[in-house]
Amino acid sequence: MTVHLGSLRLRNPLMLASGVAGYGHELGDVIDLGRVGAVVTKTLTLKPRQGNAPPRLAEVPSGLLNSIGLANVGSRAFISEHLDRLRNLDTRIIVSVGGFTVAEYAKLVLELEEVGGFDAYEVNISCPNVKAGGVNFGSTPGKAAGVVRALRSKTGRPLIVKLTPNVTDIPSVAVACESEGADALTVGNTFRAMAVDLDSRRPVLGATGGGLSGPAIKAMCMAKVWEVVSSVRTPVIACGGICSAGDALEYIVVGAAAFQVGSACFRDFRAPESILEGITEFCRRKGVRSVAELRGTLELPRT
Amino acid sequence: MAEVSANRQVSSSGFLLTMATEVPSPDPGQFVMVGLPEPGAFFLRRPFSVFDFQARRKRLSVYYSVAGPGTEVLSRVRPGEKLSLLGPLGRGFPESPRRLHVMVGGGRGGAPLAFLSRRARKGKRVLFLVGARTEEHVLPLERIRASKIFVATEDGSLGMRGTVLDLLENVVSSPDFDWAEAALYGCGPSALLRKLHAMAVKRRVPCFVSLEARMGCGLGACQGCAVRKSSGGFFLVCKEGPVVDSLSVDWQSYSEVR
Repeated sequence: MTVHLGSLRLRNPLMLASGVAGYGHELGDVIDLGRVGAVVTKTLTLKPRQGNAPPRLAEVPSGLLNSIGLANVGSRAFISEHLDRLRNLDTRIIVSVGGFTVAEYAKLVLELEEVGGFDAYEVNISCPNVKAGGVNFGSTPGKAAGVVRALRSKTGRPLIVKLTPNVTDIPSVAVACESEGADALTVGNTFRAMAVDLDSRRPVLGATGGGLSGPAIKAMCMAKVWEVVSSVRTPVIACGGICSAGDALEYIVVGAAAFQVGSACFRDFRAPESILEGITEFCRRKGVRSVAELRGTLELPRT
Repeated sequence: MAEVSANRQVSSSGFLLTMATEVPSPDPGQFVMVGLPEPGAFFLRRPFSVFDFQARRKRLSVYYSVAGPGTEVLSRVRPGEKLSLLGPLGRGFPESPRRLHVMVGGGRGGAPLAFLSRRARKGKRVLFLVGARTEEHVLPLERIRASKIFVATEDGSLGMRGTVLDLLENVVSSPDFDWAEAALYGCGPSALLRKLHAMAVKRRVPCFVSLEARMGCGLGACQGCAVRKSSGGFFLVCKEGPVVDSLSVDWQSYSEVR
């Protein structure tokens, strides 16, 4: 089941999505991290962040709405308190990085480059750009490219860029990131969403709006993955509502090279294990020798 | 997975869910995350404080009320069905060295306190105060072990007419009530906990409260169950709670959220 994302080699295509596994050790008792292909950390920013006002979570039909607000310990505490433990995990470690200016992204990566001890970056470009009125970096090709360009010159480690689906033209952002040297693209982050409590007539989330994940977004994310794989050659990592082996395999057939599991872990921490077993079983039953053989084998009707 | 051995309605609003499980013995105040059937629609587990744990028979019970579509589905689970169960999690009630333990439970909040009351050491005097809307909403009193149990209902159908706070005012105004020996333990609606905290501050007694929050993982990874601290910033109910010293909570913020 080995997969390659640029120079990054994973023992299997299953990655734990950013935000679900904290800094690696929180889930140590419930998930055997030695089985997964990679762990993406919670998004790290230069300075610690407390996060948004509660409530930060709401369940909606088949979906999880969150507005955590990038709560994280900041780079200094990450390096001194968490990196050593992460380093010792028997899996690929991908550090998710965020920032509010291009300079912040760059400074964070430089600090991390000095210490090392991890395998790749996932660049979270769904962060508000404070110098552009809070518009997300990921929302225009130019701003997304600016972040990738700044980081590409600072590191030789693989750069995975996590795209936001909240754009009208995701291929243009994907192409911009590819041309600046991204090694892989994660498609994608959560969908903007909102829930209302009718009794109080208030938004359920303290931050009013949030991001939707879980089975509710799978079909929408599938279309985004399809649009991206149809427009770039860079490997795509699918991330959106994967709960079963079937979900993951559908994304692979559409063209994803790897996939991430997030919210499904909250339902059942054995989800990663059962997804991997299900994929092995599917391949055996269909006489497929490797996951790579299935990638991009979507049969389109002839026109 | 844990097999459901019973899921009975024991009051107008309360259900007692008992599962056969191999989980480690929980401390009073700790919680478990219980998965719901229909995992497609309700894929987040729900956190419940432990109501009872019988080590020998390997049975764990939680007391819950139907508060939304998730707990409604849970209420229809039959014995023999299997639910995913994670726990015990979080920090339970610390044991105060003080001799008089006053436990104040509003509604379903009485559940973790009932468990705490049964684990109270010899030599401790436990006063247990229960508040509910009507007699039909009172949680099973036979599972409480206390020197004295007091009940208040809003309509006066059982015990005193009024809230559990009115009841508390009565109890503490008794001439033999000794604040110097008292520690408060609370669980229930935010308004109750907030007033309990105010009383503890005024009387300079320790007060430990069990909080509620919407949770994702239950393990401190997702940062979803944050509650604002009185000293600024947030703590996570799943890791630093659910039981915390009432001094650590920003009550203004907590009351608005709940």
